Amino acid sequence: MREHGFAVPTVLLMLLAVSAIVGVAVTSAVQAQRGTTRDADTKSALLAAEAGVSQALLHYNRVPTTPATPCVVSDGGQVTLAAPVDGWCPASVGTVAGATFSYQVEPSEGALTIVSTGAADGVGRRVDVTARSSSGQQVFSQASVLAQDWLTLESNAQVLAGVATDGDITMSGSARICGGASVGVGGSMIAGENSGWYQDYVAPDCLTQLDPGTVPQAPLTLPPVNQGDAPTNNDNDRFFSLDLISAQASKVCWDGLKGNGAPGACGERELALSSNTSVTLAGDTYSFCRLEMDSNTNLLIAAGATVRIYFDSPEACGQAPGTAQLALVSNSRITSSEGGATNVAMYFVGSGTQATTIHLQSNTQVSGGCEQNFVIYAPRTAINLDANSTYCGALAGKSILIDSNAKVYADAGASTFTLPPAAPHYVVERFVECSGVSGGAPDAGC
Amino acid sequence: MAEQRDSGATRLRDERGFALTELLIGTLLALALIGSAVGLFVTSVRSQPRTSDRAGDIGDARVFAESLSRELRQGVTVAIASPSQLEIVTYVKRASCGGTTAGSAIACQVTYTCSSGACTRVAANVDGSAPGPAVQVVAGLADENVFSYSPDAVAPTYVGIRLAIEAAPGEDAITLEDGVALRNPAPEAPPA
Repeated sequence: MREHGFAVPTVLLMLLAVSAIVGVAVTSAVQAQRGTTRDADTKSALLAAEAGVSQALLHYNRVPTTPATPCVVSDGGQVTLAAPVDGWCPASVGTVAGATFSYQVEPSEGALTIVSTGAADGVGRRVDVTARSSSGQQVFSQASVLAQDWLTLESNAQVLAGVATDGDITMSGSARICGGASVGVGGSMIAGENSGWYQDYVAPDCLTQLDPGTVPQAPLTLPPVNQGDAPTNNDNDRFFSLDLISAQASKVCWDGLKGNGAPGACGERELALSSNTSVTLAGDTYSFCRLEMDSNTNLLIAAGATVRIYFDSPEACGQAPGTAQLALVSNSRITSSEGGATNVAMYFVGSGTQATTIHLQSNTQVSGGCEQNFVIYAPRTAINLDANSTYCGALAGKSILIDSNAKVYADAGASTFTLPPAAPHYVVERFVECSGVSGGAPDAGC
Repeated sequence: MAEQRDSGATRLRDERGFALTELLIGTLLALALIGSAVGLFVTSVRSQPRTSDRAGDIGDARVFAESLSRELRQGVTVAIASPSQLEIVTYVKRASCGGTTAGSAIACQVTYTCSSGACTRVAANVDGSAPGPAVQVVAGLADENVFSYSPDAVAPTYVGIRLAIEAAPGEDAITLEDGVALRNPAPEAPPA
């Protein structure tokens, strides 16, 4: 009876009001926290999806596959080979940092399409990555001159062949390209100062001028060279007992020794020719660190021989940054010993961190008749041709600068040249995120 | 009978004066409560539009940061890299660069321009042709310097995003920050 009055209801009312206010605040905080958590889960899911892509690349670069079982399937640390179904390999699964990933791969000739899905706390993200390998591929099938980063022509330089780059093509000083061309996604062809892009080459001229603004855009990926066991299993010991020197033996140096057996100034696996001498190669596989030719020298390829020269990485060779691993100056030539068709391929391993170059200048010539498979594949090495140098064959480099009346041309044979079928080295060409769709092919919505 | 009179008198004496005290205290408490509630309500009503606008701006900024991050991740090359403007060639899921949503991605040139507290987005073909309309993607920014670049603005491989939301005097400053590495390989530019 003594509890009659207004105090208790008033206090209850106050508690109710305070509870309501606190409830609103807590709800608001929870909602904000939920958004933050979802943001974090989104990032975790994306990282898990990318971890799946990385694992796929690792496995496909490490595990040899067969034509019948081109799939590398990973599940709980077990890696097995399998056959695809409807073009797609069985799913591989894994976990990373509390998130899960699952990916499927669509293997094709020299390429992989990887679709990977990451999930974290119920949030999913899917990515689609295309990766390419040059192993066993006809990389010059679309163009004979390939530049990963850029292609520049200056001062009457000419390319009488198809060209492609992942960057820009720049021409100036009456330079011209006569053949098909493509630039990278977002790239452009810039033609100034009487320069031009032509097609329909009928010697000695190009007939039809094209608008540089219409140059097509396409991604270009030049995967690195896999030299396999070439540094240890090669024909280097043919110098100079089987691969003979013409003229003065003292003017040729290989691996620290001159042709006459005296100590020379050339370095490890370096072939240096100077002053009117020639060396004829008749072996199959060579491993060089450097080739330097000067003053009317010739590197001759024996008739019928198919020569592959691997230039090792600058790190393995102990070379300084910017070293010219192939330097031809002053009327030096690499050509057939008898003037007929030859097959020569030079592969430059290069480096992702240390610059290397190829330098052809001063009336040098890399094969005269242009009726052979002559290939330089140097995806991580800058190529510089200038001062009236002439190159005939297929040419691929990190960047290509053609200057001062230098000329590049190719015969039709270059388009069918196939790189050695070494173990593949896949590198990413294209990355996109996919939208959320259910059903259909693994890459639906990508 | 006399006992009954005594008992009633005692009860009346026990309850004497408490009702008035309770009434006064209760009234005071009720007034205080009602005053607080009314004050809170008036304050809420006055600040609600501003609060809603700010919450909307923050929400828009989060959505913008997410969509921008996705376009940056899929980016190939950055052509214009200033603190208030970003032009990037990237993959977008459109039938055409200025067109409708599609299931697969195509390469387009996308330009973000930030000024006067807002950012707009324009999509065009990779060569810059056929630009679509400028669409406002975020507003209410206190600073138009949204973008930062690493290792440099010449050939960036990482783009930082900083969205500082406008704050009135007395409000807490809110800034959303994120950053994305471009995933697609980009060619190096030739030397100048």
